[in-house]
Amino acid sequence: MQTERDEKELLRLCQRGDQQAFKEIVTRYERRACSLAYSFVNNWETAKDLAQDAFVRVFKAIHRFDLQRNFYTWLYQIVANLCIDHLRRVSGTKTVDIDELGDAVGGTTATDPGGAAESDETRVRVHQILGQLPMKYRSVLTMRDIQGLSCEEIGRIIECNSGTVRWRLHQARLMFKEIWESHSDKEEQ
Amino acid sequence: MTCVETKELIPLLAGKDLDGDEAAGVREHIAACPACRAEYDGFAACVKALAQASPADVPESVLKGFWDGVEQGIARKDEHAPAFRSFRHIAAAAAVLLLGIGVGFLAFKTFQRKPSDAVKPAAVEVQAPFSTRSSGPRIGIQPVGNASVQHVLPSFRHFDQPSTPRVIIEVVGSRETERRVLHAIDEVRAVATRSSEF
Repeated sequence: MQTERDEKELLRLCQRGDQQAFKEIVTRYERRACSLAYSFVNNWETAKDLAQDAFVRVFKAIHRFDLQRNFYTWLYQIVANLCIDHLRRVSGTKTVDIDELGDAVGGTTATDPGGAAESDETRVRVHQILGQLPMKYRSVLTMRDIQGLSCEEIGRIIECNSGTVRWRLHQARLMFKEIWESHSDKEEQ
Repeated sequence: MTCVETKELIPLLAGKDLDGDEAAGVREHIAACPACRAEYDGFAACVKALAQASPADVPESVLKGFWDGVEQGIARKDEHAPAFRSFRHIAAAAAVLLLGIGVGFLAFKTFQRKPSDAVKPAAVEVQAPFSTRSSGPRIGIQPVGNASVQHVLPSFRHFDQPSTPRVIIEVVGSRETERRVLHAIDEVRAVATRSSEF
């Protein structure tokens, strides 16, 4: 409650153009914003660029932000939409950067080499499959199954009702499973 | 619940997007149906794999200099903003100017007198039945309404009666004004005629 009140105060200061207050907001949310962007684009450099761009946009539009709303939901919406736009622009190009995975999970490799390697492999495979899905299915699957957002939250972000989100999720999981299992079959052969 | 109905709902149950009676119905069915159970397990494995694709931790290298990048981005946008704003201002001013010119032109066209009503000089000849050499009655011409009498020129052009003086009056005004002036002149002529008869 205290944090929330502090946040509102910070946001109020941001609305008056206080960059120091905005820096504090950025510090609070930079990890989550980068993590969210990464779950879409699977590349830390791109994720960082998109997250930074999202904060720039937030700063420019902060005077219009309704303090009664949840800031993270708003930020999430901006990051997600920037990522979706980015993926649309680069669709058809490679979206999985295997080389950078070593840096990304470097901390876990030392403690659990087997588990980390398996996890890396899964992550690469998941992103390869996600890259093959149409954007409207890919985005809901990312937000629901990777980021753990509810259908209602996703609906607010992509401006659809939760029924549409559930339908897209249903279709997205069907497509994902089909490709996932075809990959598994090839590996077994 | 049939297998067909169950299979429709399995993708949602696997992602915990089903609740209430529907979820209970699907669970009950898959507990008793190995084929649907296998289908469910396949979806559950996919959902689990997707959950694992979430990045565990953001590397510190990514967060290094994060704020600096944001700050630069804000500064860059600020640099562009004034130019953008002045462009917008210029565009707005140009639009207002064009609008003003348009409104002015329309107003000019609207309030401009139409050719039929336009001021035009009407030459009216008054044939005065009196001799210029005599000291007969004078014709007094006064402007009528909005009309202005431009010229009152005695003319001595000879027509059928060489000695008859003529007065040419140029009247400037609308047709209504012209009509009123002519009427007035007729009255003057009548007075003049009566005077000459004396």
